[in-house]
Order: sequence, then C-alpha cells, then structure tokens
Amino acid sequence: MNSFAKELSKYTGFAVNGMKSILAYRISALAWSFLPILFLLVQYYLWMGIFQAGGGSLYRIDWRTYLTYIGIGFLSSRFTNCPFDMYIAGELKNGNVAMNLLKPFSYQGMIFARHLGEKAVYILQILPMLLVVLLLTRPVIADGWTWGAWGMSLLLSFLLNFVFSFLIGTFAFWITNVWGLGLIRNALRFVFSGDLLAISLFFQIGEKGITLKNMPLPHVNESSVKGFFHLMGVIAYCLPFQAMFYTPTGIYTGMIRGTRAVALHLGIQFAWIVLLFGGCALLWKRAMKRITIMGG
Amino acid sequence: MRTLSIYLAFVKQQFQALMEYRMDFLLGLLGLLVQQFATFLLMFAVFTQVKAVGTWTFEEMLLLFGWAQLVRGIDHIYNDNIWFIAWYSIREGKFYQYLIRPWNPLSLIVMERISIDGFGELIGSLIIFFYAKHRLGLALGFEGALMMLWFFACGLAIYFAVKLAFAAIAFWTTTSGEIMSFGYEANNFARYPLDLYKNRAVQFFITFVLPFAVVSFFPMLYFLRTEPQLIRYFGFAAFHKWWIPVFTGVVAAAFLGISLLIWRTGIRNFQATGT
Repeated sequence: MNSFAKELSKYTGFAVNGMKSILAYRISALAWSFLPILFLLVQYYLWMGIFQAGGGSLYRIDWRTYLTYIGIGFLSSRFTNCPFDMYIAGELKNGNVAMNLLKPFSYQGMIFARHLGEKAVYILQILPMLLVVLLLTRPVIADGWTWGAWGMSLLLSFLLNFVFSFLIGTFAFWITNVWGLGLIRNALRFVFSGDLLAISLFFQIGEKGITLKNMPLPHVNESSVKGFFHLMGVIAYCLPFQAMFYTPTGIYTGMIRGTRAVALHLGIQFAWIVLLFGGCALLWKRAMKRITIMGG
Repeated sequence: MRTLSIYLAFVKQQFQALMEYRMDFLLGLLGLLVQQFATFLLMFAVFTQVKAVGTWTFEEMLLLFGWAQLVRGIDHIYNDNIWFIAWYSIREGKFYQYLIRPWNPLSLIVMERISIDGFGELIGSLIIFFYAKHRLGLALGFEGALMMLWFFACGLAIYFAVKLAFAAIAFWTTTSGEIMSFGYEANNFARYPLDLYKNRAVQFFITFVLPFAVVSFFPMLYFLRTEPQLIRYFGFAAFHKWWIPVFTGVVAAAFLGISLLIWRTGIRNFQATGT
C-alpha cells in the first residue's frame, strides 16, 4: 500500500504541471470559459425555435428534456473529451517519446496525470456555465440511484475517451499523417455520438407508430426514411462514440431509463473500455518494439 | 499583376505539398464533407415533423446554411495563416520576417498559406446551396448574380475584418488566439436565420458587434423575401429592398476600415517596442 502511494505521488507532479500550463495564461483561460456560451446560445435558440414549431415536443421528447440534453451534453463532453491523441502522435513522430520513455515513469500514466490536471482546471472554468445551464434546465433526475448511475457513466466516459485518444495517437506509428484520420474521427463522432441528434431520436424516427408529417425531400418514401434513421441508430451502437457522449447525458435526462437499460448502457461503456484498452496495450507493445529496432 | 504571379507560385507549391499526402487529403476531405451533411441530416429529421421553423422552410434554411458555409469555407481556404499570427508568430518573435521583406506584410501573410481543410466545407456547402436554390426555383438573372457577387465580397470582407482585428490584439498582448477563437466562432450564428434568436441583445450583437448576420442572413433575405415581408422584419414603413445591399456594404466597409486601422496601429506599436 505504501509503495502504491509512493508510486502515485510520482505522478501528481505531472497533474500539477497540467494545471499550471493552463493557468499560465489567465486571459486565455477566461476566454475559454466564455467560448461555450456562443455555441450554447446558437443551439439553445435553434432548438427552442424547432420545438416551438413542433408545439413543444418532437418525436415524443419534450423541449425541456431536449434542451437539458443539449446543455448538459455539451458541458460534459467538454469535460470528458481528451485531446491528447494529436499530442501523442506528435511525440511519436518527432521522437520526443524516446526521451520520455527513458524516464522511470509509465508513459501512459504520465499523460493521464497531465490530462487529469488539465481537466481539474477546466471544471473550474466551466463552473459558471454549468450553473447557468443547471438553473435554466430542470434536473430530470429524480432519485439518488440515478444520480449515482450518471456519475458512474460520466467517469466511464472519461476513461473511454482517454483510452480511445491514446489508441488513435498510437496509430501515428504506422500512418504517415494522422491529420486525415483525426478529421474522419471528428466527423464520425459528430454524427454517431449523439452530439448531432440524440441517439434515441434516430430510433424514434424509425419507429412504426410515428408518422412523418411531411417529407422534406422529393422522391423518397416514408419507409425508406424510417429505415435509414433506424440504421443510423444501429450503427451508432456499433461504434464507441455513443458510449462517450450519449450514455451519460441520456441517463441524466431520462432518455435512458429503467434499471435494465441503464445497466446495459453502463455495461457497453465498460466493454468498450476493456476492448480498446486491450487493443491499445497490444499496439503500444508493437510500437515500442519498432522503436528499439529503429534506435538500434 | 506581380502580386498575382507570386500568389500563384505560392499556391502551386502548396498543392504540390498536398499531393505528397494524397490519402491523408482524401480522408480529411471526406471527414469534413460528412460533417456538412450531418447538419443536412439534422434539418431533415426536424422537417419531417414541422413545416417551418419560424417563417423558414426546409429549403430556405438550407439555402441560408449553404451560403453561410460557402463564405466561411472560402475564407477558411485563403485566410487561415492569420491564426498563426494570433497564436505564435508574435510570441515567438517570428513576426519580423514579414517586416523585412519588400512586400506588404498583410498580403504576405495571406499568400503564405492555403488551408486545405476549407475544401471539405466548400464542396459540401456548394452542393447544399445549389440544391436548395434549385428546389426554391430561385432564378437570379443578371442583376441577381451581380448582387450575389456583391454579398459574397461583403461577407468575405467581414470575415477578414473580424479575424484581422482579433489577431492584431496580439501586438499588445503577444498572443490572442483564444480571444480570436471567441470572435471567430461567433460565425456559428450565421448558419441560422436572425429571427430565430429571439433576444434583442443577441440580434444586435451579431448585426453590429460581430456582424455575422450581415454575412448570410441579410443577403438571403434579399433573395427570399418580398418587400411587404421585409417590412414585417424591420418595421419600417418605407422599406425598400435596395437598402439591404447598401447596409451590407456599409457594415463591411466600416468593419474593414476599423480593423485595418487597428492592424496598422499595432504594427507601428510593435516596431516601436520590438527593438
């Protein structure tokens, strides 16, 4: 136990470092905390307009729930997202990683500690925004049990984001340039994470009991549109992105409700972490072998 | 003429570098294209249930969105280097390289970099814009085409002015990337109609402070609304359609002027303290 604490204390330095790197520029730290307001305002008015046009609800989701989904989803994704993939890719490319590997630390541990430190500061930054969102939206969560599930899910999402980010970063070993990969990842994440539309909406549109009131495009029929959106929902569940974004916020807003559904979603999150962690460890091992080959 | 030939040389060099990473370029393009069509998907999903959002139909929303992204995409392609000035050049002392060359520093900065990220935005928005235009049966004619060019130029000028003004802050603070992000990202408001933002302060802000509504919303009103409808928007009894291009031009010119003034003052300030 004692040695574990000692081991841990080695990494707190990196966490503090991460915090300092953000706090160094106070004005920019302040600018970052106001930036979310712009995005949230656009989203807020867009969806308000849409729900007003729809008479207060759309696909059986009422406007309060959806606005809560947007606000909480936006803020928690800012908390859980992990931008270290491009950093790791950069270090692997320019060879800096070799210097870090020589040090008596686990490279993954070091990055994770830095990440934690930066996020700790970030929570302080978005606190004012978070308060505004909480005041404007009604907390849908009723009982302590759901609060617990939400916290758990948020934590899992945080870990999953980190593991995924590390995996993408490690790809830099085999791919000449990760820029394109990064943009593809962004696009897939945008569509299939629930950021664009809540995943439950995909299924609601595809549901048989709901009629589509008008068809925006010519030459398409109702059943093909329904089939398409249903397929989008299915694809979303085959990719890890919904476990990063939709699951925690879905639990918070009650879009995912009932013990079984919540447990299933938490299970999916956990399974993705295990799977990607395994893949990551495997790739990293291979990558490290390559480093020695190139070095020797 | 000489400026043009120098610029073409720069562009050619950029594209050669680009072709080195062909796969990367294609993947990136695809990613950005998907992101554009995601918004199309969102609107599609919404408009299967509602006929109009406010007074705006599906095709009209698409037209506005396509236009906003079109201007944004072109700006992104040719005018991306200014971000480096805001983030790094001045802080790392690299700004002097522009001052010692026998050319206008601002045009050098613009010419130095073509951002390929913008092409995904451009292709997606062109498809969406022309699709919506076709579905609305919008016949421009000669006059309309000229107007569109005028609005396009004004839109680009506004983007240019906003980015330049925020980048110039770095002359005093050494780095201004974050504040510039704040100013630039306000362009997200340009995607949707101004009357959707039901708040006077927000409307004022994106018309007169960071005038991104002038980039997309007012020009599209010119094409989509008749004069009686325009009176409902603005409440002037003697409203004439021609005020829109005049207003757009005045806003663009004013912001460009102010912004260039800030930039010049900044450069002078920079030289005085730099050595």
